[in-house]
Amino acid sequence: MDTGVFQLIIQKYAGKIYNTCRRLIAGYDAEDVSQEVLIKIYRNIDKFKGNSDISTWIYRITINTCREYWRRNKDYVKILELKEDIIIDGSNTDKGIIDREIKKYITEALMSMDMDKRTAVVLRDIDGLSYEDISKILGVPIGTVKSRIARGREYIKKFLDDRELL
Amino acid sequence: MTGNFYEFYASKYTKRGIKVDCGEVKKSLPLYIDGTLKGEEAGEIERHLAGCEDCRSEMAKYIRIREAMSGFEEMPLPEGYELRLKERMDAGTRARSVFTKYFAAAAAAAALFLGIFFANTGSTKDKYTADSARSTTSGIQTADNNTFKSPAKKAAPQYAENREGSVDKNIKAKQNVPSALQTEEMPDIESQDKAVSEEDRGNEDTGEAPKQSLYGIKSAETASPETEASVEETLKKYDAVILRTSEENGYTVITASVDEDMEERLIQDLNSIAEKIEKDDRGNLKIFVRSD
Repeated sequence: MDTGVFQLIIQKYAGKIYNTCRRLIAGYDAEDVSQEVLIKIYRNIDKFKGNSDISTWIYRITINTCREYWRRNKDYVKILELKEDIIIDGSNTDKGIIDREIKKYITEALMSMDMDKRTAVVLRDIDGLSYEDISKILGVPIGTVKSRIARGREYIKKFLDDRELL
Repeated sequence: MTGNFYEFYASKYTKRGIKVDCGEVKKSLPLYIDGTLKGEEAGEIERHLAGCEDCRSEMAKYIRIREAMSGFEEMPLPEGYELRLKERMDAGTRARSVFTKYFAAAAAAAALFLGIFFANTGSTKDKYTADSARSTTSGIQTADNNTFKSPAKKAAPQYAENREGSVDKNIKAKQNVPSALQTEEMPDIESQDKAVSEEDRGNEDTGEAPKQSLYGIKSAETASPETEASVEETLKKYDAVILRTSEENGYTVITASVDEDMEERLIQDLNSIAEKIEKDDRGNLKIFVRSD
């Protein structure tokens, strides 16, 4: 593979891949896993024929790699503290503190739900993808995507409700 | 009184007289909040919300969560990220170059061996053809170990057979590997998306792979570079990603990550090559090769 092309891919997508990995596997080992994704891209880019958008293809590799990592390490990851993954926005106002708490518990809720729902919710509500794009990335019908997102959002709401954070 | 009547009416009935209770509305809210619901379904929910404070409160919670999630910021790549990526990739390239160096010699030795086998067996040609189509990697092992494949090796997994054609075609061409050794090209996969998806996702529904801490030990009689090349090639065959290569107590230790559903078969293949195989606490394989 042309290293120049790969360098362009790194410049354009490495940050997105890294952040998606952080959200799907709680930040822990996100660097290792995202680099594994980039190596897979490097090895397979010649086979990419442009039948779909390259970002869809890259998302798919990212999600499948995270899924595989999670399957092998979920018990290990679950015991880790999640606070490192919470974005500190620097605001010390009441609202800022509440926002941080909510984000922290949303992250915790995401990590405690199954990977199918988590992936759908992250792609929609954090990455802002359309239902159609998510359907293509995950290879499931749009109805399934909607169902997973609805159940995922319900789960998060209940998780926060139980802690009286809403 | 009129307001109370309206709220009661709105919470129980639509204009068309269809009953929409709070339970149904609350079930629909997760999708209603981002405009996914359309037409009459959305209209019924709107009418219900107009008169139901409890459901409006629920909707506000979903909106609050959605706003918080859209405010998750992108983190920059950690310092030194690209450098560490390059190091990982260089480690893989270095390993592959070792493979390239020894591939021709190993393949030639395999060709010699198989030629003798041909001459001696004659009528067993059909059997040979089937066996030779199995693996070019097996040629390396045959040359290295100067012995037949182990029974486990003979029962090469289907996956290994299918992946054969994907072994670096350029290397094969450059090294002029005898055509008798060249396996069939893997048919082009129509959709790369599908190919990658299957490779990456193919193990979603499989059961847990057996967890072992020590997979096997064999005596060290193979020369290190060839053995290392065999290990690297076997890892490549199973799309394993080499995380690092290090030296430990006289061993070259290759740490690699492989999809869970490939793990058992990879270990089976590696057992005849590596000194021992362990699993680290992250589930990665540590393959020990004698480095004398």
